[in-house]
Amino acid sequence: MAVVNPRVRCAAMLTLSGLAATLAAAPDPRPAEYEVKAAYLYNFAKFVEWPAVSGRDTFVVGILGRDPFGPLLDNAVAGKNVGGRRLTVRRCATLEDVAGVDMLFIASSEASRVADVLKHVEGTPTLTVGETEGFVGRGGMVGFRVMDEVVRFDVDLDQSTRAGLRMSSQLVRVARKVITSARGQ
Amino acid sequence: MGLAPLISAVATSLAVLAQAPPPGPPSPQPVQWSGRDLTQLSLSELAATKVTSVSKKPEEQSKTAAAIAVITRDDIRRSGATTLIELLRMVPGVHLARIQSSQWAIGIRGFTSRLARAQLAVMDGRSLYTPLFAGTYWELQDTLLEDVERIEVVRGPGGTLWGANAVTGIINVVTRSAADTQGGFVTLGGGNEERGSLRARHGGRLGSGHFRVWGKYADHDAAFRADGAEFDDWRLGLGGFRADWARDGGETFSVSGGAYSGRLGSRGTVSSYTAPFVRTVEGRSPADGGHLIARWTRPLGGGELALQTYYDRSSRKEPTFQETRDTGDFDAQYALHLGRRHEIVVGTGYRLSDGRSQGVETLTFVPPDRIDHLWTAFVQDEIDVVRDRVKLTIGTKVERNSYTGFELQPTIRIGWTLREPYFVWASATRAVRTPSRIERDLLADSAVSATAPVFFRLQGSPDFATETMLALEGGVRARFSERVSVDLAAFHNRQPNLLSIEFGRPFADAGRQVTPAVLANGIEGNVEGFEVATDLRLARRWMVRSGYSYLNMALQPRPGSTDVSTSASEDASPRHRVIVTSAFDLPGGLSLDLHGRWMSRLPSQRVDAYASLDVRASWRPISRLELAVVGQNLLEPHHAEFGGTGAGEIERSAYAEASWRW
Repeated sequence: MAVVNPRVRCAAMLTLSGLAATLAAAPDPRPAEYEVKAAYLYNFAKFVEWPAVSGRDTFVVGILGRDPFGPLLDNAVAGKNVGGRRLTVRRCATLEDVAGVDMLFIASSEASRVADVLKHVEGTPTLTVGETEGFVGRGGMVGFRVMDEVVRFDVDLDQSTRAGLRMSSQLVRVARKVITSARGQ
Repeated sequence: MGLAPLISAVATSLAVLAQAPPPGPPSPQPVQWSGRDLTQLSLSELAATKVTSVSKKPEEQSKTAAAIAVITRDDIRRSGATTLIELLRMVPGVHLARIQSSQWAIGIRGFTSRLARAQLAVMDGRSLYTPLFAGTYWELQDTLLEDVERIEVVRGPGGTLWGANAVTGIINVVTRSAADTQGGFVTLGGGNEERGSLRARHGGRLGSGHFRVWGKYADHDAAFRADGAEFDDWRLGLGGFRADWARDGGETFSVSGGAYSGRLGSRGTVSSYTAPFVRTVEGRSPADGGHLIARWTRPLGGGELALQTYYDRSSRKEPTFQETRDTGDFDAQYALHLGRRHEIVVGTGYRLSDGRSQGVETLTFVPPDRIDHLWTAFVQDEIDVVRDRVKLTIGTKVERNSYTGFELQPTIRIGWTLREPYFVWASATRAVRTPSRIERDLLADSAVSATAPVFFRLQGSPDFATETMLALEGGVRARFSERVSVDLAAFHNRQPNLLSIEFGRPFADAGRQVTPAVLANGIEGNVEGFEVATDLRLARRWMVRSGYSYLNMALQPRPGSTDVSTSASEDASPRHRVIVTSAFDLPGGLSLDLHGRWMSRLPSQRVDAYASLDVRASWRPISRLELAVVGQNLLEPHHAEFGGTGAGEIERSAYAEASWRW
């Protein structure tokens, strides 16, 4: 058997990885997944109508579970208003912290208790956004899906209507999958 | 060559640990900001924005109290693999060896063999394991790799949910939902070993649901042999469909099916009771089959009920043996949260497998036809002992099979989030491998010489009993950030009654001299080892994964056993195995992937320690078109991986392909 000298092999491997390192250091024009998801959350705040509340000057986006955004969501909402309310981010450690949030992002670390969380916010005007498998269809309102390197989302209009929220047609049109019992929309 | 690669692997692992940031609160994670304000984009612009694919492992995996590895879609695309089985080379603790062009041996935590008796393989809930001779015909168990969502590889017994024959490992292939495979593609490729391949899929809407149809055809060249023989080239065509519907209220329904037809070049020896007593036959073995699966899930009383049924048919004709098998299976499973602390899963199932075989005079199954029945029931409770920190899983499976009656397989597992990001787990499991037809019904006479009527008779035995294993496992996982994660698992398996071959006294039978050898449970032993895997994101576009596995098998014949196969079995799995994978995305739609492997020698298979390297480069000039070139086994013109002197050697190869999407 003709065997390549191990030293030659080592040198070849090193050259290849060196080349790779140089190339990999080039800037990436594509945004990260959570940068796009953060921009979506801002858009959900814009394109969903909440029942009128008086005396609140902030719109609270809650993150429940292990925060995947880091500073990205804070960057995205910094200095922005929806319906005259200032957008703020709240990181929720427990279900008790969730009280009073307008939009709740349920991180994938909470996959095992999504049903509990949804039950907890039932009956309140909270837009629930998730990213776990089957989130929409099991009671969630907006569910992210990453497909072929783009971030899309599914919506359940029945759930949002039940909570007193109205999704604009602009939002629904972009959704990948729409669950609704009102046929022919 | 020997110690050096081992040392460098250990050094790599240590370097990873040294570079890891000090543990602390889990977030914020070091996510890079592209510097653009994406909130200025419209919704439809956002929906079309390509993101860097963070090939993230699901949270469930990092908090699972078992040694599990997940092969993601991104891993599959980057692998350059053309068949399902070849993907398993990238998993630490899994030893994959190509015996010849169309045959693979696989070992998870030891016992590498073409007939990997104690490993379970499942695709979309359908068992790929054949009860004829306990193993999987991997060359025929393929699918369109582009439509695979993930492959979960569990090293060690899977526990309650999997049941019999999931002893040393489980390979679970999950394909994508039809809703996720809308649109289509066609890929054409060719090379010197992968001579030609064509793959295509189209997905669309079907009423309120979605569907896809797909097809794949591949023509593989023969392996290298020093004597120039070329007989093991093979062709396989397969196709299938899947349709999924989701209804309001969480109800889902899914139907899928597939069929394959292949012609596999083969060469074997046939013994005969009349001279010449041995001759070599070559031929093209036809293999055909198909399956149909239906699955329905719905929320019920606060939990979820899942019902699944499938039918599978396979037919294979080899020069000395043919079998047609029909399998029907029904499973029901119910998962329920009870209170805030308990997650209970109960299930039951029934499988009927009807095999009809036909051998030659020197190779038969007695009786030739047999129907196997298998009933199973299991219960498992996952208890949140300390909320979000300590989880205890207890459960057992009860099974009744046609050969040994009732079998009990209990497990206890504990997972503890010590302090973010450290997750520690441990488990104790009793797992069983139930007999298959070969161990009960086989009767095979092999002529020792072409000129004299002297035979060696291998036969199954009604006394062959279930193989049991007591496995103790433990591990640590730490995901320091999106950039660095480490996974360590160690195990000790006690196996007191493994398959042995017991030689008897030669006797005369109808003018022939026969030395009998009967299958029994005469081997005992311990298998232990560990696996380390590190994932390192060195730069945003550059991911390096490495894995090292160590294995020590200590088998011996039990008192009274005449078995002589223990050292051959020990020496068929590598003691050391190293994998290094590098994946990078370059500007301009280019990506470059390297897969390096090294493993120590396999004395009983006459395989020296070897290193190999695969390289894949791809370019996407426009989003609809992808061009790729792949080089495999680049370090040597050819090398043996398994099977001793008669086996084929795997050659250096290259192929190119073009893919158009719509």
